[in-house]
This record gives sequence, C-alpha cells and structure tokens, in this order.
Amino acid sequence: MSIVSDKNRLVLEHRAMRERWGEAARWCCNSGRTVYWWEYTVRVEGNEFPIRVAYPDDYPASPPEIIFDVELPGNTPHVLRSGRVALPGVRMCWFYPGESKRSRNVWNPATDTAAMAIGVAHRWCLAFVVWLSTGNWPVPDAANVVA
Amino acid sequence: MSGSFKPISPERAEQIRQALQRARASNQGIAIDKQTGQFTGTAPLNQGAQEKVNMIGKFDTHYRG
Repeated sequence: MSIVSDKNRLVLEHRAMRERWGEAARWCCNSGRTVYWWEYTVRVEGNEFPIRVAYPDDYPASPPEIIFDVELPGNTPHVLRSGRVALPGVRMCWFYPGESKRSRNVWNPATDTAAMAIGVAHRWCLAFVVWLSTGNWPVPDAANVVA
Repeated sequence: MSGSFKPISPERAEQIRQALQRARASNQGIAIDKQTGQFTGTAPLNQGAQEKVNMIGKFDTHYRG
C-alpha cells in the first residue's frame, strides 16, 4: 500500500517534515506515482550529502529507506547496496530489523516519521566524515555493543 | 552524482568522535548548525526546538550491511 493511500498518515508525515526541516525537504514521486520520497541535502562539516528518504510499500510498519543520491567511496561501511524501494543508490544502514533490546534504535511506526530519518542521517553523515578522516567509524557497531 | 568529500582535521575528528560517544552514553542529541553544517556539540533533547540546531537522539548505533 502506498503512503498516499493513508491520508491521515500522509498529513502527519508532511506536518512533521515541515515543522522540523522547513522547505529544505522536497516531496517527490516517480512518473507512475508508485514510489514517493523526500529529497534533502545533509550538510555536515563542509560536505554535502544529497539523500532521498523513500517510503516502502509497507510503511509505516517498516521504516523509510535513506538512499544516497551521491556516490560514496566503495569501502564505506554501514551501508546496504540494495533495498526494497525501487530507487537506485546505496542505502544507509541505520536500524536493525527485529531489534528489541536497544529501544532507542527501534523503529516505532506510531511515533517515528520520515522527518526523524533526516535527523538520523545527520548523525550518520557526521560519523562518515570522521571515518573518512581517520579510517575509524566513531559510533559502535551493533556487534560490539553491550545491550 | 560522484561524491567528492573533504576530510576534517584529526583534532576535529577526535572532538566529534568523543561527542558522538558521549551523546550515545548520555542519550543526548547531536547539534549541527543548519546554516553552516558545523557540528556544535551535544545537548539535551528537550532543547531540540532551538533555531539553527538539529537534534538527533535516536538510532545512535550503526549496523553493518
């Protein structure tokens, strides 16, 4: 089911996006109006990361995908090379499906929106800049975190 | 679009690394100036409505793809 078929959710998503990110986020869809996403450019420490925050068919049960609209170095960690949404680009690996122990990192369909995903993207991009500069990712890997 | 990313100084990287870990440990947000994109520190999440500051206090663990 597309995000636009749930009018209440659509209103919630747009309201949250405008309140948090103003007009910097742009609402987009493909020509067939089957895929919907927000375009936004994350600016961090002198670098720009154009991203798309795209809605999967089962949204909000599943979180949005954060897709880079820019080519990242081939060895960039914490990314997925493909996803479920029919858009090209590397995906940010920002949550773990089925996560239950670290509540801060669990997608909550009732309260979380695509606007929050842009906030998440800022944290990820900040970590990326540190990794780019030092070779070390500054945020713990899931496998190394004690719940 | 091919990315051309600029590294930051080792001192700045260390400053950000410590802040990211401190924020995670204390459940605080990351503050980034919306105009300049510069990281400005950490702050409690209830200050999230401040102008020019992006507060992010969730999804602070990154997973391997």
